[in-house]
Amino acid sequence: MSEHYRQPITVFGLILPVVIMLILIVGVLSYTSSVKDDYVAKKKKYDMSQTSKRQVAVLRNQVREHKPKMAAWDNMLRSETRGSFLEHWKRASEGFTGKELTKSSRSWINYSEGIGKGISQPSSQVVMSFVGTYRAMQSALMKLETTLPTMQLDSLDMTQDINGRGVNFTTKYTVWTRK
Amino acid sequence: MNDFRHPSGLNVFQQYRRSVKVAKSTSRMKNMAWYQDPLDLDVQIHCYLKDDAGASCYLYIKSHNVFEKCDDLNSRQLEQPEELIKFIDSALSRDVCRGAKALGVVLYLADEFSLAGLGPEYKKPSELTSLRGMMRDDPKAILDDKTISTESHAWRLFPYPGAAIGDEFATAVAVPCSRSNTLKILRDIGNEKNFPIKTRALSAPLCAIELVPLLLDTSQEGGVCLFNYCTFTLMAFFNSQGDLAVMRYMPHANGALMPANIGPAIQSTATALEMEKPDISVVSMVGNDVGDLSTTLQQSLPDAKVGIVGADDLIDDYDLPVGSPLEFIAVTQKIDPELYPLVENETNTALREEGWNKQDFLSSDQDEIDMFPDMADMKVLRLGRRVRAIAALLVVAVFGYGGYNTFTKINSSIWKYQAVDYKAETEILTNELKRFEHWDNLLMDRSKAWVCLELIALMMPSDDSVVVKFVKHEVKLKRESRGDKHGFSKEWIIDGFATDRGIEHLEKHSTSEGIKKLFSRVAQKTENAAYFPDTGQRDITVSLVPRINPSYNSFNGQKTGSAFERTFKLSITQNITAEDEMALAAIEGITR
Repeated sequence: MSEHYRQPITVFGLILPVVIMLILIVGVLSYTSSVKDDYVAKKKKYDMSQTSKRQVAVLRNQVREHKPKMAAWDNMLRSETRGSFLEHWKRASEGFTGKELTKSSRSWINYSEGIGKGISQPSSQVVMSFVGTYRAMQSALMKLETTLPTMQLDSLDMTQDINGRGVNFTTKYTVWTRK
Repeated sequence: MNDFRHPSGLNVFQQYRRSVKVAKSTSRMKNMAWYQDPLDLDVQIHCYLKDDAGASCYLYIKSHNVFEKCDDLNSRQLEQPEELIKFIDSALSRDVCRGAKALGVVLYLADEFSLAGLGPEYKKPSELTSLRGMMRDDPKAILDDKTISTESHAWRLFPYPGAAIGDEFATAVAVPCSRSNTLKILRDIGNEKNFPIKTRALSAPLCAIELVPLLLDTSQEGGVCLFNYCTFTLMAFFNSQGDLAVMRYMPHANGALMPANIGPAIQSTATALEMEKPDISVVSMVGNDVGDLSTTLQQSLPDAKVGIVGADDLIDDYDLPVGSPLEFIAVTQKIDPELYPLVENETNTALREEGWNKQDFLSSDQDEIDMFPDMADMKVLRLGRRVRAIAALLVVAVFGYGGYNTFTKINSSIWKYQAVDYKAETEILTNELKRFEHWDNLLMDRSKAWVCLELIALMMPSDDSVVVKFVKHEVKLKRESRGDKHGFSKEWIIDGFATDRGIEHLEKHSTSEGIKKLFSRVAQKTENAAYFPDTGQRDITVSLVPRINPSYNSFNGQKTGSAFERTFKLSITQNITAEDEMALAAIEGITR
């Protein structure tokens, strides 16, 4: 190999172009890698957002599904008072004669000693006594408990009326309240 | 104008540019003939200069081993580029040269010859290789005669393989440089035409030495070959193995065909070599009549056997054109060792393998060689091209891959997507859902009086065989220390009177299966899930304790219960664990 051309050819014809191209390749790969990293981060955010979107959609559907029921409950909880409770009882006992069903006493306390005790939800307790027939009592209680699902029976005592008027019922309910 | 500047005057980038230009504008990268020996090329022109008049020229096609006589060149033509161009064109236009990729021009210098001894300090045959290079580069340094000219003559070393130990082991051979310009013109023509013309100037007498196996029979005494040329006669002395022992040359004085006093000259050298009766072979190399020379020798050396070798017979044996120089046989033909055993001796082996007799006396000078990159340079350039091409492909691939990837990523919906924060909405919805779940849990039909009454009603027979005295039903929360759900239990205690049949009826419900069946029936009838017995998280226990009714009066049953034989106490307990769906949740922190 001639001494005059060996070095120039090796440097300019081989090493320099390869180095330049390697720099280009490294540059492109580096940039591509950077874009890829950004893309991965964006994709992660996108996926998380899409997951959140789907979750929110599911939640929306569930909330929408429950909305009528929840609205009814809210309305009931908002509007129910001791006075309205009596109204409900009157409506439940409509159609029964005094011989068939008579409420003998009622008492309220602002807390529950029954199943509401120890539960974080505020509740009251109502104790009611009745005299009447079995079926009339059952029918009236069914109407009342259906109208007011907030009522949870704590206890029920049932004895024969000593005067022969029917059956004595004493019910004790925990009633869930808003406050 | 960088094309004519020596590369040492160019900077490295200009040197590189010249290499690239040569590679692009000439065939030096593709045609390897540029770097081949002219004797290896397929098409060759062999020019024989026997005197000053000019050169006899022959076209030689190596692949066919065929010589053709072509136009001769006179001394004027040898110096004129136009004439030489015509000569080359004319030669290459022949049919046999069609498709030739290169031309080798071999000049046989037979017009002048001289020998000189090495300096006295050079006595070691082992230094032959280094001396060969020194003789080519700086002959004055090693020649005994320091007055010789290196400008007008070219010097090369030539060994005596048959020399006795201590005798002269090599000599310096000189030929005139007058035809170096002719060869330079021929090479330049090749450069101009971008057609490799490779040249070599051989000393014809040195080539003739290789003919000795054809001329000489080995004898105990050894032999002498006289090669008669126009202006000189070369005397080559061989030992009994046919190895060259020494060479002497004698110029022909005043246009004579043979040197004066050649007999004594041979006699003295033969005596020095201890050859009493050497066989002498006389060969006319340029067509001179050597009869007189032979006669003179025989007269001078009456004991010697003097013979004349017929050149025409040898030429005919090798099928060369009539009148061809004998040296062509030495340079182009393979001599059969079976016919001529001396071909295998030390001298001829060295000549053949080391090319002593085919040395180029008028080779290109270093400056001319430096003007063009050599074969190795071209290989590196070609390698560079391939590497660059591969690297460029790689770059394109990487750019393509990277560009496509980047483009698709940057233009994707994901890249442009502006993230929406659903956190607040999720929290609101989650709270709303938890609120629903909370109330849904609280408002479950887990404990309803009318269902309880239905249970009692279904438990009692319809045939008045049982009378209930009292019923006590109680629901109790079972607080869990861990977890946010609480189970509960329901208990029924029923006291009453019953006939035996009534007791039998109650007993049907007082088994595990019986009470579960009853609860299941209640659940189905009232659609109250709290009464389903088989959820895995619930259990029901029942106990019936019948007794004899102490107030039983079969005759007067007006008092309550007195008409029944038995009293009973029925206890039912339903346990619902904290894992049950009916368990009460006590979730803190929910907006209610």
